[in-house]
Amino acid sequence: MPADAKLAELQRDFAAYLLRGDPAVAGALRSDLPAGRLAIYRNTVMGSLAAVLGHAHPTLRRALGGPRFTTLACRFAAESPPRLPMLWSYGAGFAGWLADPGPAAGIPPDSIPAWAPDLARLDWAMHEALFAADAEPLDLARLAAIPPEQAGSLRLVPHPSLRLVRSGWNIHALWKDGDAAPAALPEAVLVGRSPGDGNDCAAGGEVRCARLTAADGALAARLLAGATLDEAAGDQTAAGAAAGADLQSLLALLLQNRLLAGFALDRHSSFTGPEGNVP
Amino acid sequence: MAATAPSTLPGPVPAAVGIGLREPHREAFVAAGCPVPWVEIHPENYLAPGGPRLAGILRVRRDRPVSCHGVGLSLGSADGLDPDHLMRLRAFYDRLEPGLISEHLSWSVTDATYFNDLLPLPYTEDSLDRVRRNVEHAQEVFGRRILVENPAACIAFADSAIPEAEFLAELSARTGCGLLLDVNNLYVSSVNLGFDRTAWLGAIPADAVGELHLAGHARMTLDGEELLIDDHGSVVGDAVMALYADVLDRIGPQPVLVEWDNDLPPLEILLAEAGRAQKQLAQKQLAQRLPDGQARHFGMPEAHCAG
Repeated sequence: MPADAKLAELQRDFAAYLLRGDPAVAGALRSDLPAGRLAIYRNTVMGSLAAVLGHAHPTLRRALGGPRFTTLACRFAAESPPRLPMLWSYGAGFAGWLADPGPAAGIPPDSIPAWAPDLARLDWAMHEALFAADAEPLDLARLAAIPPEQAGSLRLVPHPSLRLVRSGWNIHALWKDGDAAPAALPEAVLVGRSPGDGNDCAAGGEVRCARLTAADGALAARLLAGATLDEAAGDQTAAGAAAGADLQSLLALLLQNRLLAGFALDRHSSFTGPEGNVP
Repeated sequence: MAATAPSTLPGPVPAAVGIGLREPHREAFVAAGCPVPWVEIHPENYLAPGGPRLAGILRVRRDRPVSCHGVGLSLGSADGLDPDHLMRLRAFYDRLEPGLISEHLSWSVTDATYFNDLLPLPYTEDSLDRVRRNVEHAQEVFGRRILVENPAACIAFADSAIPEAEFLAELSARTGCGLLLDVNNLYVSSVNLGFDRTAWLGAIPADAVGELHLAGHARMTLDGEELLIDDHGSVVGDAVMALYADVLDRIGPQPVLVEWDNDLPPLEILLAEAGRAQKQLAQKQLAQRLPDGQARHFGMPEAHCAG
């Protein structure tokens, strides 16, 4: 066997033990040392992956309780171990897995609460927002200079950290209040990192959450998908769901929290830069 | 090679005691005026598009030399190094200009899966050649020399034919890499695997060592036997401090790092640990500067009068 192939086989056997407890690698160990010591490596890997997932999903962990969360996190980790060495990026698939763990996971039906996937999506949105690219916020003076008759043609360029989580559950209350009980309640949560105020400790910004009604959530989804203001509001009317949707308030929320990085005017079909320079 | 323009950042990592800077301590560390001469970070924690972590460590770098201690390159991977990760690290190093770059004599990646642990290698001629190629590849991409750290282990492979210290010495000789001597790892492995620490130290080329690590370890009982676990979750133990003194005698003063990764204490406790290690390092440095007759009397003011 070629030299590298032999080492590769040993490492694959070791990996199979770490993820699934496959004992083949024990045969390669020095015989005077107890093979049971291998368990230390498996416990370290699985335990730290559960901790990483818990760090990225603090609300879900709190809502499920530590032991229940850890059981689910270890099942997920065994099926979907990290592909990248940056562990802050590990866990993107956890919410989707909770929604549909598949038969291979061996999770008893109904053991994952119906609200858990959405709460995981909210946690992940906040986690991702913390690491998203930096961008200068939209210059309000540039926006104010748009003639009113062209305002309906505006398309928004979200800050790279901006996320929208739409849910059938009261995920915002569950995040904000550890004593809140899960309740079926259509809503949406806007997540984004507001740029720092320039002092050293706040450099890079702070992640914030804002609760939206379900109607505003639908409106925000269209805007963030690239619809013009007119298109977003028109769809709203056409869908017969205008009740409660409030474009003005949503824009104010985005601007006050500096969660937009630029805009484009539809008639030019071109985005401005972060400084809002209209071509 | 690190930068094309003259750098305005603080210079190289000094032969003094620094701390492993972890995120929960970062703001307090800056607020306290960066109270140690250098810090070490895990670069993988900062390989992100943006955000407060990255901005925060670049802020620290303005005031202090930073050493980068990689945990994800996997120098022992049979498949070679991940070119994407190499380029991510290189871009970060070009930006941060670390004073030292280190990795581990271990593996953590196989079949494109990353295991967040430093897994042991068999020490054979074949694995030595694989690690040699990987170290050369890393040094070539980074345009910098790296240090390679001895691992903490509780298992070993039947195939291992080369003692660990000789493996490291040979790796250094073949690649020009330096060595990071982790005193706690040496202690933990020697107890768990039953080898002679003195012989191990004797086989390490002193002039290749570019950094020392200190950390705490835990004891656990598994199937009736006691094992040491390199958990970086407590103060540096007495036995490790004693071994540190031996290492300083053999290797001489170096940049020394106190690591603490689990059950993080308040920053002051970690700084106190650094102070304890610094005192020992300073004694060694002073002893080296004094004539032989005075070195033995360090710490006794009258010795200076008598000399």
